[in-house]
Parts: sequence; structure tokens; C-alpha cells
Amino acid sequence: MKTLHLQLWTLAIVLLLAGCDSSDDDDTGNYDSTALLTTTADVLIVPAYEDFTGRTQQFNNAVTTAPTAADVDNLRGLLISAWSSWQAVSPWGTEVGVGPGFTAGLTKGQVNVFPTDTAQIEANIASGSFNLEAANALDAKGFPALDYLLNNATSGEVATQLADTSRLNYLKALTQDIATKASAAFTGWTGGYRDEFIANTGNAAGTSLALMLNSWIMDYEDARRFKVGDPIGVRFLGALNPGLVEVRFGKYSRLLALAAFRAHRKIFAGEDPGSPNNYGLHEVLLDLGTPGPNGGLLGDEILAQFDAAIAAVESIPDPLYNAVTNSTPVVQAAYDELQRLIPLLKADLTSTLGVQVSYQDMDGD
Amino acid sequence: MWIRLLLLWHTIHRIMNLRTSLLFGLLAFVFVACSDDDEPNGTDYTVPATYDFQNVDYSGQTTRLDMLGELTAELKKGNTQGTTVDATLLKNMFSNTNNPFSSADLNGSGKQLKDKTFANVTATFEAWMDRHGEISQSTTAASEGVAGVVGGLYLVDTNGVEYIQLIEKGLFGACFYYQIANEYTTADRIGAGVTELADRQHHWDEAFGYVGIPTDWDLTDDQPETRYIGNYSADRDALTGCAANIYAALREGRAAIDNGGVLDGNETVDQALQAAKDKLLTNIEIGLGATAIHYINDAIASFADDAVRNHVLSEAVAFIWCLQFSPSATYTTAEVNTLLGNFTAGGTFTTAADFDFYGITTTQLNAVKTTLATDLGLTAVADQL
Repeated sequence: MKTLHLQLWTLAIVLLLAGCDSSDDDDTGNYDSTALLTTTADVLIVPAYEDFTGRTQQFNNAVTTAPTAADVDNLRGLLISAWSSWQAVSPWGTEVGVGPGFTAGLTKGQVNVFPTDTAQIEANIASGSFNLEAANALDAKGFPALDYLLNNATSGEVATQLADTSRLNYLKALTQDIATKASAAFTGWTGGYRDEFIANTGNAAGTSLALMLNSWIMDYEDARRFKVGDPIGVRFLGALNPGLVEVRFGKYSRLLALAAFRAHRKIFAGEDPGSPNNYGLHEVLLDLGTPGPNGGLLGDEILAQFDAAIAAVESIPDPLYNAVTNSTPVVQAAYDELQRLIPLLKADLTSTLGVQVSYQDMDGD
Repeated sequence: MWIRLLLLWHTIHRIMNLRTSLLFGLLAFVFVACSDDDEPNGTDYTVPATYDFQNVDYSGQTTRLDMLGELTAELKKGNTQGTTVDATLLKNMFSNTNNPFSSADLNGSGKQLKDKTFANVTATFEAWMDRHGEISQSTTAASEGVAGVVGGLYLVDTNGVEYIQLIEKGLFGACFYYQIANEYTTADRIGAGVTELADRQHHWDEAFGYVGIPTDWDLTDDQPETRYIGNYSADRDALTGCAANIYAALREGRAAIDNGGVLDGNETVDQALQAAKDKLLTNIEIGLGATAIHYINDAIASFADDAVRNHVLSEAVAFIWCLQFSPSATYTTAEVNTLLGNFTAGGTFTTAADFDFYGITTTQLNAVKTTLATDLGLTAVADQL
């Protein structure tokens, strides 16, 4: 009897422990949240704004009177440089509103709405009076509008077009608009918000962690949808529409898509090669030891999926504009790989860190 | 779990004194309190016999279904010879502009059919509305080459095309089926990325709402809430089982979501959700396709009657046109257009003006019927539909 008694006690205690093991949802475990925010600010965000500010200023300064064909070629190169740099800033330029980038108006809605409205652009140029801050100007400015202005014909022909001063003025207004906003965002970060961001710890709504995850993942979803999904009609019954690509006239959409998804990977990985002491989301997940859905560690599974997605985008033949029609299955396969990251980021990662996904594209029904 | 505890409890009772067993009872209680009953993710749930779930809400869909009701009533005024229909009003009803409805609730709902209709075909619907308004001005009876009311029954154009059917039935596909297949049953709506259970539930309810059935759907009863896709599926159910399958799939999907199912996961319950989605879309397609065959049969049976033939062929082409609006559809848009080419004079369908319901032959109709029946697995019942 005594032996049985003991065995039952042991059984009961084992059952008790097993039963309680998994029910502790509030504990997001131990990781160094200050180190994570410091890495995010100092390695990811501030350098991205710095790079972007430098390139957009250089671009804006290069728009001078009476451009020649060689000047147009130069401007085209500067557009590629600035637009590529934007891809690392875009994750902090969503409606979620992370810090000075948002307050300075350096958002996707202000600088990267595509497809651009060429008729509105021409109307603005013709009238000479336009308000770039007005709602109807959003798809007539920013990088896609600059793509139209600089890439709609040969460089010689574009130089001729720009002999029209009202056209040149419009071009200058667009480059100035971006450069001004970029500078304001960068100054805001270096002028105090960086410290504020790092000090705002925790995982509740409004904390830096909640803001950065929401803004970044929202931007990732948009990038997947607008850069890759829409041109192959993922939301449109497979109706192919190459005109929806990011760079309709210059036709280097694939380059920008790769820049974007590499920037997204870097936000997760948190570090540059050769900077081993940076502490990003990948390491946070490894520190927490969170298991992933496929039997490994969540951190490694997300990184592997980023690599698979980037490799799939790399396999799209350039230009994307033509691949939409000529290599639809390859583009679709890339979209599918990109889509596989959504549950990993939006559900697994956020729930591990105890962050609420605050944006949801509800349609009001 | 309760049974396991009960057995343990009985064993303890038999062999121990009261004090010890009370202690065990306390431990058992703590054990139960710790278990995560509120996070179901297994497969040991039951699917209710009706769409009876927590916080079911699809009012936005009911609003749009009601809008189609008023729009159809307005369209049908044209069936009375001498009554003209205002195309501007029709288009306003499509986009809910300028308080077009008799119901103030619909006018003030902030919702519309147009912005939920596949964007590539909204202009097509507006062109059909314009054409309907135009032919409603005819004061003569319709015959080949003459628009008007045919046989005192249906307003048709010079080729026998009844736009009421293209518009009303077309919206089954381009709006309701499109929304179900392209929005509310996709990973963006019910995948793991939609982190709130209440959102996933609501999105599935919205798919339910677009089918047009009550939560306690009785296939044998003429319930007023049964309409549109739901109604026509029920009419084809005896021969295809499509309506019962649609209803079951909707309940199975919601039950899976309630029990933790997400569309893009690997758990058993996730697979149950995927299976429910596939079953739902497959059976909506069967309902639409079987209805098209049904009307082709009617046309063959009443081939010499201009009024009946024009009317049922308008139904048939509308239901065939609907078959393109799912990403998992049997037919692509191009393949649907090829099928519709059989209803034209030149063999190629581009717009509704290409149809020719006076010059069509039963050979053409039988060819489309055979193709549809083969592709949709309805060969065995095609003649009875």
C-alpha cells in the first residue's frame, strides 16, 4: 500500500507539471530587448535613412537647367541609386507610423505609388500649378513619376522634352519633395528619436517593438503583393498586367524587388556580414529557443525561408515586365515562396514576442 | 481527459483514506485548471448540423444581396413593353450613388456592389446596363433583328439577348463567387497571418453570406433567405448534391476555424479547413455549371419558341460566364470565352453583341453541353438536368 501511495503521488505530480507546461502564454521569455532596439536603430534604420538622404540629395542636386542626353543618363543612374536605397527605408514608411519618417511624410504613399498616373503628371506639367501634397497628386509624384519623366523615351528625346521648363520644373519639384522629406526624417532620427526609440521597451501597443514589427511586416506584405503578385494577377484571376510592375518605363523592377526583399531579410537577420555583435530578431528567436513549424528553430526557419524567397525572385528572368508574360510560372513560384513567410512573420514571430498585429486590412464589412 | 481523471479518482477511493483522496481531488482540480481547453487545435470537435457558431456576422453581404434584389426588380421593369428603364439609375444602383434604392438602409449602408465586383468587368456590367436602357425604349415586339419584348415576356436585343440575365446572374459570378474565391477563403483572410480568431471567423462568415442561404438552410423548403447562388444550387441538388455539399463545406470550414484551423498550416485541422474550402469552391462551380446545362436543355426542348429560347439561352450564357471567377476554376477566362463562342454567329465571343440566339443550332448547343458535362464531371446527369 505504501508503495502504491507513493507511485500515485508521483503520477499526480507528473501530470500536474505536464498539464501546466504549455499554458503560460504571457511569458515571452528572456532576451535583451534594449540590444534588439539598439541594433534596429543603429544598424538598420538610421543608416538606411542616412544612405537614402545622401542619395536623394545627390539626385536632386543633379537636376539642373538645360540637361543634355548625357545629363539624362546621369539622372537615370541617380534615380536607380535613390530608388534602390528607398527599399530599405520603405519598411519604416507605412501607415503604422514609426517615428520621424512618418511625421516627415516620408511614406510609401508619398514617394512610391505605382502604377503612376501619367495623365495627371502631364496635366500638372501643362497647368504649371499643382500641389504635391494634395491627395490627387500621390500617384503623380515620387519615384514612379520620375521613372516616367526620365525613362519614357531615349535619353536624347528626354533631354529634348526637358527643354520645356515647366517639365523640368516638375521634375525638380519631385526630386526636391523626396530629398526634403528624407532629410527631415534623418534629422528626426539623429536629433533625439533614436534614443527615444531604444528607451521605449516592452511589447505593448505603441512600444518600439510593436511599431517596428507592425510596420516592417505590413511593408513586407505590400512588397509581396504590389511588386510581384499584382502584375501576375494573383488578386485578379491570373489576369496578367505587366503595366503594374514597379518600374514600368525603366524596366528594372526585378532589381528593386531584390533590393527590397534583401532589405527585409536584413531586418530579420539584424546584422551585416562582418558585424557579428549586432543583435537582431534572428538571434532573439534563437535565444528564446522557439521551435518552428517545421521541426527546427523558428529563427532558422524564417531565415531559411527568406533565402528561399530571395533565390526564387533571383530566378525570375530580367526584366520582370517581360517575365510576367513570358515566364509567368517562375514569377508565380517566387510569389508562393514570398507568401510562405507571411504566417511565419505575422503569426509565429509576433506571437513569440507577444506583439499584437495592429494593422489588418479589413474591408469594413 | 475527464474520463481519465474519473478512473484515477475511483482507484484512489478504493485504496486510500478520505483525507488522501481529498488531496488528490485538489490536485486533479489544479491539473484541469492548468490545461489549455481554450486553445483547441485538435480534431475532436463536432461540426454542427446548422451554421450555428459563435458571433456569426455577414450583414455586409446581406446588404449587397438586397441591392441585387432591387437592381433586378428595376431591370425587370423593362419586360413590360413601353416601360423604359433608366440606365443611369441602374449604374447608380450598381455603385450606390445618389440614393438609388427604395430602402434608406441600403442607400445609407456605405456599401456597393461595384467595388466588390471583379474590377476587370465592372465596365462590362455598365455597358450591359446602358444597352438594357437603350432597348427598353423599343415600342415594338422583339423578333430577329428587332429589339423589344419577346412573346410579351422578356426584353431582348436584336440578337435575342436578355440583359437582365447577364447582369443579375453575371453578378453571381463576378461579385459573389469572385469575393468568396478570391477574397474570403484565401490565406490573406483565413491564414495564420490573420492573427485574430475573430477576424478569421468573420471572413469565413462573409464567404457564407455571399452564397445567399440562411444559417438553418433547409434544401427542401422555400426559405426567403435562400437566393442567388444558394437558390440555384438547391435546384440542382437532387442530381448533383452540390447544395448539400456547399452547406456542409461552410459548416466544416467554420468549425475548423473555430478549432484553430488556418489555411496555410500543416495541422490536421488546417487540412480540414483546406478541404472545406476546396469542397465549397468545387460545388459552387458544379452548381453554376449544372445550371448552365439545365438551361441549355431547356433551350433544346423549346427550340422553336423565340421567347423561351432567348430567355433560357441568356441564362445559360450568364452562368457559363460565371465559371471564370475563381482562381481554382476549371476554366480560365479565355476558355470561358471559347465556350461562349458557340453562342455567337461568328464563332468568337468578345462582347454580348456577338451572341446570336436566332441563328444558333441545336448542334452548337449540344456541343457546349457535352463539353461542360465532361469537364465538370456531370456526364451521367447531363440529360436530366
